[in-house]
Amino acid sequence: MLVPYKILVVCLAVLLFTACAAPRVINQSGKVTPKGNVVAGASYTANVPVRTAILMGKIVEQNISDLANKDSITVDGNLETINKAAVAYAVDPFSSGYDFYLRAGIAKRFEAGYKLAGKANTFMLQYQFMGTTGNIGTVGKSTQLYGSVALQYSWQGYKLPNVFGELQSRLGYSFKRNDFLLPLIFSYSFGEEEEYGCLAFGVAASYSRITYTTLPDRVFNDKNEPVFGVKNKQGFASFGAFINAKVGYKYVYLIPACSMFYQNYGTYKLLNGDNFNFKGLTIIPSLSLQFRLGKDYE
Amino acid sequence: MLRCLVILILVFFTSCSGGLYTHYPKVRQQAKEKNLPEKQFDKITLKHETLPTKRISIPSATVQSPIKIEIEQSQLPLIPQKQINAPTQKTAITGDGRPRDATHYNKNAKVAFVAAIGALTFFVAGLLIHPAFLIAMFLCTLLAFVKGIKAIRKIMKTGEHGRYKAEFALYVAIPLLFLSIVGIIAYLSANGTGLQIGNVFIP
Repeated sequence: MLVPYKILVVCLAVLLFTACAAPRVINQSGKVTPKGNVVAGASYTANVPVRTAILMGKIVEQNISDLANKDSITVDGNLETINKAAVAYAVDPFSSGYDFYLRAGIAKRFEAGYKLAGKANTFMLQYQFMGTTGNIGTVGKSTQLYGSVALQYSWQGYKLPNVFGELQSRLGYSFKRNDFLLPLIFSYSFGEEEEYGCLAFGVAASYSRITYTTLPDRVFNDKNEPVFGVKNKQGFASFGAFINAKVGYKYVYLIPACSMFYQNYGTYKLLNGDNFNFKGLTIIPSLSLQFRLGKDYE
Repeated sequence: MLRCLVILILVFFTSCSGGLYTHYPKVRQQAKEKNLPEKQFDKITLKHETLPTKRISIPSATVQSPIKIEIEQSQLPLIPQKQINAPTQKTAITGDGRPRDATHYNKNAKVAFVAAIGALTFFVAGLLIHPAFLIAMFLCTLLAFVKGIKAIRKIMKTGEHGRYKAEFALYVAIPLLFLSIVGIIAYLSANGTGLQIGNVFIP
C-alpha cells in the first residue's frame, strides 16, 4: 500500500460523519468533578438498535437507488418498507461516530457539562449525593462508593441519513428532536478519590420528543393521487442500564462503556396514511478518552 | 582432579612449614650475629619455658530454664541477616506525602516505559509505512498500560524508584490505546470488513 497514511486519515474522517443518534452514552462516574477541576474528552460511540438493523437489511434488498430515480413513485409494499425503515432509522439510527465533551466542577457536589455528539448539542448537570468530594491526591478511603444523579438535555435537527441518498429529496423527511436523560450513577473507586479510575454502573430513564414533517415529491398513492406532506409529533420513553469502567492514572483515563435501552418508539404515520408502531432494544457501546485538568490536591 | 590439586597444595605447605622455622632468614641472621651454629640456635629457640602452675577458680554456671517468650522467639523462622542489617525501604515523606525510596527500581516501570516507547514507534510506523502496525501498537500500549498501572500502585505503596517512568508510560499508553482501537476499527471499515457484532454489522 503506497498511501496508507491518507487512507487512515480518510477513515478517521469518515467516522466523524455521525448520524442523528440521541447522545445516550453514559460515561460519567458517581463522583462529580471536584470544584476547580475540569475534565475534557472524546468518545467513539456506536449505536446499535436491533430493530432498525433488521429493517435496514430489508431495505438493502430493495434497491433504493432504482426507486429514487423513477419519474413517479407509487406507494406500494416496497415503498412502505422503505418508509418504515427510514422512520426507524431517523428515530434511532444505526450509526457510529465521535462526541466531544467538557465537564467542570462548578460547586461542591455539582458538575456542569456540555457535549457535542454529531449534530446534537447537549447540556448536563450532575449532583453527587454519596461519597467524598476530594480531589485526586487527597488522602482518603480507597474503597469508596460514590453516587450521583444527573440530568441531560439535548436537541438536534436532521434529515434522513446518507444511506437513503436521493430518496431524501423525494420523500422530504425532516426531523427535530429533544431528549431528556436522567441517569442514576453509582461508582466504586479504584484508589483514593478515583485516582486509578472506577467501575460505574446504574440505571437511566429518558424521554424523547420528535417532530417530523414530510414533503413528498412526485409520490402517488394507489389511486394515482398525489401524496401530500404531513407534520406529526411523537414522544416516547426509554429505560435502560449502563456500566462503564474508567481506568487510567491521575490525568488520563480510558473509559469503555456500554448502555442498553429498551423503548417503545410509539406510532408514526407513513406516507400512505397508515400507522407504524415499533419497539426494540438499543445497545450503545462506546470508548472514551478523558483528560483531567486541574490541581492535584486541596 | 581438584581434590588431587588441593591435597598436593596441603602436602606442599605441610612440608614447607616443617622447615620454615629453621630456614627463616631472620633466624639465620641472628645466629650469624651471635656466632652460634644455626642448629644450636634452633634448639635454644625451641626450648619451652616451664611456668609455675596456678589454680584458677572457675565460677559455677547456673542453668536457668528459658521463659515462654524466649521459647516462642526461638521458634520463629530465621530472617536473613541482610534484611535486618540493610533495610530496603526508606520512608522519607516528601512533597505530596508519598513515601519514596532510594534503593529499588521497579521492574514493571521499566517494562512499561520500554513498551510505551515501542508503542510510539509503531504509531509512527502505522502512519508512515502500513496501518497494520496499529496491531503491534495496540499490543504495546496494552502491555505498557497493564505494567504501568501495576508499577505505579506498587511504587505508591513501597516507595520504589521508577515512578516517573511509569507515569510517562501511562500518559503515553492510554491515548495511544484509544487511538489504536479506533484506528483498527476505521481500517477494517475502510477495507469493507467492518465490525460484526452478532447478526449486526457496524459499517
